[in-house]
Amino acid sequence: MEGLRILIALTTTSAITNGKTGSERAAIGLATELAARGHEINIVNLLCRGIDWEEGYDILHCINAGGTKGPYINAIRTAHLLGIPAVTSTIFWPVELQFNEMDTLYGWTQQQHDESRAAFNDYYKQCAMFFAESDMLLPNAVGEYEEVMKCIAKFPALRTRINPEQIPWRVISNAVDYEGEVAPVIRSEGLLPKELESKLKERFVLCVGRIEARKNQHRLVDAMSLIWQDDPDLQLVLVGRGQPEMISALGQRWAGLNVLVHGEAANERVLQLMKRCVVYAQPSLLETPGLALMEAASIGVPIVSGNQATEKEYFGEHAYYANPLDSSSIATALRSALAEQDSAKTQARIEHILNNYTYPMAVDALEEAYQLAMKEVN
Amino acid sequence: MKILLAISTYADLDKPTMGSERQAMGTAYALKERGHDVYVHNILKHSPSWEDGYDIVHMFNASGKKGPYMHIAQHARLLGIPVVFTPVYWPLAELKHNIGVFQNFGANERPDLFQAFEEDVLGLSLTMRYVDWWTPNAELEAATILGLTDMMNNYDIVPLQARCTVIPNAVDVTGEIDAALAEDVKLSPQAAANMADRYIICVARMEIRKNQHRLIKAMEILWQDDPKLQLVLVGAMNPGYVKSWEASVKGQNVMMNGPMEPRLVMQLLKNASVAVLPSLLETPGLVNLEAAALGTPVVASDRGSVKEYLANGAYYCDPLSPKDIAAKIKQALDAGRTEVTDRLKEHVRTQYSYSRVAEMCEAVYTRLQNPEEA
Repeated sequence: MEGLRILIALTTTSAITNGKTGSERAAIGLATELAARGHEINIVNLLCRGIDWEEGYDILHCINAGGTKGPYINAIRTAHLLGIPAVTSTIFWPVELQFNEMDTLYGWTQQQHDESRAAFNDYYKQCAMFFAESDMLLPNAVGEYEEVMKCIAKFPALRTRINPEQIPWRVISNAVDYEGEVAPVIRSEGLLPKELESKLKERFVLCVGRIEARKNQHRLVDAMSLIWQDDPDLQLVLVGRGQPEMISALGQRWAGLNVLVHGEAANERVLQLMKRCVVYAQPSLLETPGLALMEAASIGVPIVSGNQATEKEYFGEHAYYANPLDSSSIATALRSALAEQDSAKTQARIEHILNNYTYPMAVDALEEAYQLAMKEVN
Repeated sequence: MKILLAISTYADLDKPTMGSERQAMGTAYALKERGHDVYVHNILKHSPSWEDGYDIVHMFNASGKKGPYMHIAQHARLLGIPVVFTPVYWPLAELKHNIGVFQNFGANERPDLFQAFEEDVLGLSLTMRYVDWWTPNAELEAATILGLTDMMNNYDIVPLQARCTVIPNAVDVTGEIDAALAEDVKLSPQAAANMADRYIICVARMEIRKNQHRLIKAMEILWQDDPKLQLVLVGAMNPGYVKSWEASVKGQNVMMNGPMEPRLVMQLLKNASVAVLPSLLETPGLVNLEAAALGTPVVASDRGSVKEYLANGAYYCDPLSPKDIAAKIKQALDAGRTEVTDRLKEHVRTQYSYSRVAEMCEAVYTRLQNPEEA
């Protein structure tokens, strides 16, 4: 494929060169692979900067990160004015479970409930408008596409301008940067800092993610309490920054338990811990599908995942699934994962990721999508 | 004219609380009254309907990232629509330093903490590239921005100075001020019971920038001779900030309230002995103007552009000195309501009304619509 001028656009309050969230890391991963294939890539944080349209882009690729959608919609409208096709990685999942959980866990007042409900509804509306403006949708799973369509359908007024079913779409799977990030850690000695080593138990379950209602660490700890009845030495290691409301809601609930809270960590440290853990657990209320789960699977570690979003589409038989709203279900999945002895399963899990979810594979599909979008618009 | 009024904010524009949002909405209503079609859009959350065919895009800078403004200005230019920008800017150096000191580290010690500020300033100066006309709210703000964007002038065909009109901030004279002056609003029984006859009021979000902690220290000086003088604080509370001084006001003559309805705020401002806003940063502080329009003596910070608005009608304090804040409050208390406050009241009502601001905006829009005549 001839080299294209591609503008990758997202909104984030973080430094774009230090991507932390899944969307930011995906943007960097795709950009790196596209650049390696001879395309000219510019990445812009729409929240902070305008776009240098004089560059003459062939395509605008919006990557839906968290936050408000006004900047995306306007960038797409300007692209259309200039005849530039706009494709969107939707990265979308309804947040109902998360909303209900926050309401209960954080003890919202009626006013907080109503304000949050209004904010979530407005979020859906913004997403629907954003997706409906796009020339092509790039969900990362079929299940996600279905949710995107449901979201757009909530706002019938949009139908007066577009027929959402007619917006072309292609699945562009999430990917792990195996050669760039995972393999070097697997090959390395992987020394952890002494202080951390002194706190780590020989056997531990790892969970990486911001400590918040959505990531569901509180039920993971409850599930571990069931495991600890038979296996008290098994440690739970949580890596991630605590959201203040969650920390406040948790209070002293975890005091005295066999839980090590690490705090936010660089990806290299996370991968080192993944390499050492006996099980990687991510029973989130919402994951699409969670880069950390994919990375853990690529290392071969048994993974415990939630079952509410697209996890099964990604991991098939290579994960242990739990109902994230049920601690005993999480405990059952953990027990199954802990009991896994079959090295063939480990190898199959690694191969499943490497054969399906790498950046070169994602970019193969992406290049096709770009070509199709350009053809449609022209 | 069809005017797109664009602002980027996380807040709800139906209930504006921040100065920029209130200015934007006040201006929008006043422009509507003058017969224009005004479309207010929160560009952080949604995109304007460009097919409406706007004649003018007027952007109001609120806090936060500036990307959304740049996109709107770029799009408008592609469509040939003139763009006006109200920058609402003041240098943050002193505020940043004080945040550093308050949190026990030097401003240079934690650059990450201040990165967002720097980013917003850079964003602002970049936004200026895309605008046809800009409307700072004071001469001082204009001069500050010209300094900030000095280098960019070299590249502009029409220098920034030549496409600038100072349009002041305004108060809602007919809707809020006159209504408050015409009749008293009843406070809740609890608030009324806790209210002293004589009180100093500070209406502002409780945060480092608004400097309530030094105001409390100033009140401690005043309470030595005048223990019955009450301090009334009204505004949303930044929990970390309030926690840092909350203990020091326990048992003191202080009444703290969260945000209140505008008509109640006006009532409290009207009846206050003195309104104080000793902020580290104000441009120029709407509540200063509102208090002055209600005839209440005002003690304002000597930082920022408020002197351009209130001239010698107000008392100006060094916000970093509790002693000076106390001295200026004392002077204002001793003088009370005088001919000076009466003159200031009329000055604010005539010079800083939304109808005048709308008229000034209209003149800018007309000029941009008819550049040859201009």
